[in-house]
Amino acid sequence: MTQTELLIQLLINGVTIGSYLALIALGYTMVYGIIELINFAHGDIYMLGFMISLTLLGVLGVRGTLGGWELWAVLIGVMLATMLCTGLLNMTIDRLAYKPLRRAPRLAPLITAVGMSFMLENLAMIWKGSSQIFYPNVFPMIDIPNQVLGMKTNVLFTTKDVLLIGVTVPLMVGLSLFIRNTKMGKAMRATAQDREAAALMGIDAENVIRTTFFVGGALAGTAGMIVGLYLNTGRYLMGFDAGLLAFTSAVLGGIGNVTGAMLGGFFIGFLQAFSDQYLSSEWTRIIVFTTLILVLVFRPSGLLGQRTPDKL
Amino acid sequence: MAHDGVESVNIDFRALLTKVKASGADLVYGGFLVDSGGPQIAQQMDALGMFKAGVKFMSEDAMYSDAVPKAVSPEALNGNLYVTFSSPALDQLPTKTGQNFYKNYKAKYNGDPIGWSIYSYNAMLVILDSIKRAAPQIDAAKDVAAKRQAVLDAMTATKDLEGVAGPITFDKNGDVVTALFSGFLFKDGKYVWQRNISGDMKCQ
Repeated sequence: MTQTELLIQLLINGVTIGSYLALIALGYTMVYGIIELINFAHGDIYMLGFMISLTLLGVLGVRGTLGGWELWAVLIGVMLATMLCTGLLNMTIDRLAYKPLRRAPRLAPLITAVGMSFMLENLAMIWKGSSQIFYPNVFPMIDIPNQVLGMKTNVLFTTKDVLLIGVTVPLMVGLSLFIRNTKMGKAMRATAQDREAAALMGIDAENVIRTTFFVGGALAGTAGMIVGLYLNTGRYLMGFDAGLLAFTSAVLGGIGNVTGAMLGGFFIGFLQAFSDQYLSSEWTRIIVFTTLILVLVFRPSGLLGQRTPDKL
Repeated sequence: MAHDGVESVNIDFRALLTKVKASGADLVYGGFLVDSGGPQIAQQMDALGMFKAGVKFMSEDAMYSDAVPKAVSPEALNGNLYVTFSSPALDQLPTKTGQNFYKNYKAKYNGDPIGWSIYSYNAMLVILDSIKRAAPQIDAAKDVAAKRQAVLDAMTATKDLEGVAGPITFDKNGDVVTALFSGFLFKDGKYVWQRNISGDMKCQ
C-alpha cells in the first residue's frame, strides 16, 4: 500500500465511521434541542435497530446475499419496519420514562436516561445473548475500483461503502429539509427556542416532543440496521460504544444544532481513522475526548453552536 | 512488529486493521475471547481482503471454539486462523480419562468439545479428587472452615492426577507443572492439530 492509497483508505474509513455516528448523533442533538435532555438511552436504540432488523430478516428467512428486486424489496421493507419499530420504541420510552419528569429538575430525567440505557442493554443481552451476533451478509460486496473500474489498487471501496453513505447522507439531508421547510419542522424549531412561548402560540409541545423522539429513534434504528449490513456483526453493548462517540459528536458540533451533529460525526470518524493509523488505537479514545475538552474550553457551545444553548 | 490495543465493546476495527494491512504484517496475534472482539477481528480481516493477501490470524485457547468459524465463515478462516491450546489433538489424547471424556462428550453433545469444556472437566476432576483424598480429614474436622481447609490442602497437594491431556501436578504457587501446549490451524471446517509446543515455547 502506497502512502496515497493509505490516505485515501483512511478518508474512506473516516467517512464510513462518521456517517453512522452522525446519524446517531442527530437523535442526541434533536432531543437536547427540544427538552434539554441528554438521552443516554439513544445509543441503545441504535443497538435495538440492529437487533430488530436482524430479527425481521430472520422472519423473512434471509440468510445469505440477495440480488435483484428481492434485495431492494427486502432492504427497503425491513428498513421501514425497523424505523417504525425503533421510532415507536423511542416514543414509548419518552412516554414512560421522561414525560412524568418533564417538570422535574434536569438531573432526574438524565439519571432516568442512564437507567433506561442499562435496562435496554440488559434486555438485549437476555434476548440475543452476550456474544458476538452474526448479521447475514445480505448486501453483495463488490470491490468497485478493482472489479468495476478495472483499476489496480489496494484501496478497498466496495458497494457496501456506497450503501452506507447512500442511506445515511440522504437521511441527513432529508431531516435538514424536514426541519427547515415543514410545518412540523417549524414547530420543532419554535419549541426548541422556547417551549412555553411556543405553547402559547398554539403549538402542541407534547406532540412536537413525540415527533422528535420518533424521528430520532427511526434514524438511530436505521443506523443500527445499516451497520449490521455493513459490518455483519454486532453485540448487545454496541450501542454503548457508538452512543458515547455519537454523543461526543453532538457536543462537539454544538448540541442542539442539527448541522453541527453531522459535522461532529464526520469529524470524530476522521479523528478515529487517523488516530488509529498514526498514533495507536489505545490512544484513540483519549484523542477523541481530549479534542472534545479542548473544543469545550475554547468554544463552549461547540463548533456550530450559538451562544444560546436552546437551538435546533 | 507493532503493538495495539482494542476496546472490548467496540465492533468496528477497520481503521486499526487498515493500519495493520498497510504495515505489511504477516500475522495478527491477539489474546481474544469469543465475545470480546476476536471473531470481529477475523471477520473484518476477511472483509478487508487481508486473508487473501496472506495475512494470518493467531489467538489463544479461548478462540479454540466452533463459535468462531460459525460467526465468521469457515471458508474465510480456512488455513488462516491459528490457535494455541493446552492439549494435543482430540483424537490423540494420551490418557484413558481424556479418551473417555472425548468419546462421551461427542456422544452426548454431538460435536467436539471446545477449549474451555476441557478446562472445566479437568477442574472438576481435581475438585472431586481433592474431596475424595481429604475425606478422613473432613470427617475429623470440627467446623466448616476446617473442612474447607482440608479440601484446599488436598487440592494443592494434587500430584500426577490423570487429567484429559496428561497428569496434573501443582507447584507451590498453584501452577500446573506439566502443561502441554499445541498449536492448531483451522482447516476444512475444524481445528487441525499442528505440533506440540513445550514450556519454553520451542516446537517439538
